Amino acid sequence: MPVEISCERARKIYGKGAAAFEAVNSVSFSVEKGEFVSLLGPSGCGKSTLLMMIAGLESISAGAIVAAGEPMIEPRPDIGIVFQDPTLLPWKTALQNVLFPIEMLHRNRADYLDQAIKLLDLVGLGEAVNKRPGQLSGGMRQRVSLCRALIADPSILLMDEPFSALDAITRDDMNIVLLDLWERYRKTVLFVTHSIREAVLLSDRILVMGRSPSRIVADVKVPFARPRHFAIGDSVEFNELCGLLRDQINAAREKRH
Amino acid sequence: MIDEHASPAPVPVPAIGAASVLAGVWSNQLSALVLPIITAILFMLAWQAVTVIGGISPTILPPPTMVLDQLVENFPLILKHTLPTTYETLLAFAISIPLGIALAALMVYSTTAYQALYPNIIFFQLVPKIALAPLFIVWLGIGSPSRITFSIFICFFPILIATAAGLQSVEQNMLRLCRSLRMSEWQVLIRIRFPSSPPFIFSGMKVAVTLAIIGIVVGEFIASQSGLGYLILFASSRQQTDLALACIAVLCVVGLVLYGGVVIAERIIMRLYDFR
Repeated sequence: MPVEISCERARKIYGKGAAAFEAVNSVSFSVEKGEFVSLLGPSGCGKSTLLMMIAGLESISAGAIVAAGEPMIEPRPDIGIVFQDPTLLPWKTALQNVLFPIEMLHRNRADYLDQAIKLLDLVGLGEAVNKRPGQLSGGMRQRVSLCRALIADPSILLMDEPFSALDAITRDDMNIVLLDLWERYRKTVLFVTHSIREAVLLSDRILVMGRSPSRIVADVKVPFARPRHFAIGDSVEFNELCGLLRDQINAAREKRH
Repeated sequence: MIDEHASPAPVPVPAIGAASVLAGVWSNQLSALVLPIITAILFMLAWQAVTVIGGISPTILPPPTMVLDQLVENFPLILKHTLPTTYETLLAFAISIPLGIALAALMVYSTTAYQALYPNIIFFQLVPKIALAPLFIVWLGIGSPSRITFSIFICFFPILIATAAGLQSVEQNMLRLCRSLRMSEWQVLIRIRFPSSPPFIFSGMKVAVTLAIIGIVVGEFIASQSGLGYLILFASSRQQTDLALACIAVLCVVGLVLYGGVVIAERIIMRLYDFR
């Protein structure tokens, strides 16, 4: 499989001189086309900053990031983004929110209308297309946001802790929705999370990030077959892998002291 | 014999009768409505009692009944003076809305404009603006333009500050989404920032509408041949305290109506934009 995202010693330094703070310290990795990769690490490890650099929303202090064959220097519409908060426009309906990127990219709205309805239907919002965000629950809003990230058919989907603001039960539902969507569209996904179980359930590969220095400390393959079901979370292998990852995160944290 | 499969006895739920729920709602809403009215009536009665029984000269403080008499007796005169005050207030308020919004938009749109204007605007907020009123008469004469300009001068600030806050209230991730869609600053302003601002703009407008009346009345105090401010000054100079108080009562009604107008406009816009 060809490489879709590659980071070459990417660094992010905020500030100058003595006050300089290194948010991302020389990170190198690559993601293949159609691969689901999670960036897993404790909060403050720079994983979200790294994701924003890959999205072109944060400048790169040193090194290089190449996405879909082109160096990342500015935000690109062929990369879909899902944030921690749904970032929906409260005065637009679910359908209008999903079609917002199409409108802003000056594409023909009619060409995407069927796809928008189909996406909303797939995430279980078929009945809610004309509802406004104020009438939807937190989980439903995040589903709309997921549809919006997919509407322009991006080759890459970047997700920044998209379910961390939701309650545990809704979060499980969202994981199932995301598994289904990924199975259907097979986008290249880079998924930032601090939930070990979420990362294991969803990913093909997990990159464990440590804090100060903020770099990748482990690259773990997840061996479970696809399509996956939520029930694999009960298996011994699943829980062993979670334990292994937890040890790696803890080891990276202890090294600091 | 104990039946192990018996379902546990249902825990008796205290019956909340429809009547008691209704009574709760009633007493709550009723007291919220009735209590302030009772307080006001008690205050009026106390006022009446103190002035009548205490034998206070009506020149110093007339009883409410005398004020009411004046209001009825001189209604045509008061109404004649109410119209220019209301008209000038509305004009000043109407001009200050687009002015405040446009300046706020300019400051949010352009960093240069923001840096050049914002510190000065904050500084001007600190100036006791009422103190500048006489100068407006010097600059613009004794006609209604000077009063309206002065009123705009004091009432557009809250609209400006509130609108600027509203335009800047857009969350960082929303702005990131806009950048990822390569939206221009102008598009962000029109498509995202403006539609996000009505709650802020209206809170600024509510403050502004009361300041607009103050601006006009102060202008009328300084130099005017008509308006409620003029009539209050005229009545006070002749020691007709009851007439002055009647005028003030009418000013309160004008203020209330204008404020109510803003609240109704807010309700309509909020429903349109579905803010919750």
